[in-house]
Amino acid sequence: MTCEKAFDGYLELDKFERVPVGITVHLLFCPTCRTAVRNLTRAEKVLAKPYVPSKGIPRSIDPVVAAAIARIQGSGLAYNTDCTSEQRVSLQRWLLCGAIMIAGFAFLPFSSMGQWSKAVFGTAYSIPLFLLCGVAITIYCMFFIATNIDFFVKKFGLQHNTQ
Amino acid sequence: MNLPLNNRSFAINDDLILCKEALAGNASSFAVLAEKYRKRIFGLGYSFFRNPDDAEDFVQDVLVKVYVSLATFRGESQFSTWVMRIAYNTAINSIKRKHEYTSLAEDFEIVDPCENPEELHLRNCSIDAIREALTDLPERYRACIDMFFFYDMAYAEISEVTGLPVNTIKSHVFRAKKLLRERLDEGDKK
Repeated sequence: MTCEKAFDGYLELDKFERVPVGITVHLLFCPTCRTAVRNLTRAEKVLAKPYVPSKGIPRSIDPVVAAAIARIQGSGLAYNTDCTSEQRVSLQRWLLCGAIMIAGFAFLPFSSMGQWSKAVFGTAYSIPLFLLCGVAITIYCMFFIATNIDFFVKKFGLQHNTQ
Repeated sequence: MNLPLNNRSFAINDDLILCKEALAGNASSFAVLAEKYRKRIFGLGYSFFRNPDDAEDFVQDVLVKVYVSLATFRGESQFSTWVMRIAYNTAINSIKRKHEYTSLAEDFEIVDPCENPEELHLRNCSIDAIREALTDLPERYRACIDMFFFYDMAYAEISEVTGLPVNTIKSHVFRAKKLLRERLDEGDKK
């Protein structure tokens, strides 16, 4: 592998991406490229240094951040302890409930109640049943989408229009 | 503003945990998160507004937006990427924005108090290379170069924030890296 090819391959790498074996081997045997890689890595590190988020807990807060927090609290936007995200119904539970509801409607005509209704009302029984199914599924979908709107926004890539 | 420093808060440094705590009503957890990303938001704001006062107002606006949208953060992307996306969109849509995007390498004195003379020289050399790479580069791609070099963001993260294709970002960053290498080589020869 030539120096140029190896170095171009190195330059194509993303942040924190693993260096391919071929390039690693080249760097092991080529001191020029090794020095260049070392310089480049140091330069990138120096450039990013002022903006890399600190890992520890800050001892004090900048006045701008303090002003933003005061603004949040002053405008009544602050979350209170009663309103936690843990209170949300998980997606799995929603889907399980939906599946049970649909299965229930599918098996209703075969249940004893379904058989009795069919015997008593005949074909007139089908229309109210379908209407009931439709209304129930519509209400279910309405609540499901309303309570998981952020999921749909992300799923269908609508976030750029919303923020 | 002083933070209540209890044992618990010392142990926490994960964004997701801090996020959940903030959602549970712990304002100091949000303060920690905000402090962590303040510099980045300010840098981005300065690039758009080119004025420290407007950039500070921008930091406040973004932090309020981040706080209000905190419940929608599901941890599918990194918290830093999510914050930068809100900041970028806020800046793009801001009515106060009078200027085009200016790279941090073009018009911003980046100061790091812990810097030694060698690092300072390396930074100046690197900034020159980035400035050269930015020549003739359309405004919307300038932010990509800054995000890669100054905000330490990966291609996919930059793409998520700016909405630009990964390959386009990659090719612009590649060119900048090549120029950076040439400059560093020249510096070594001197």
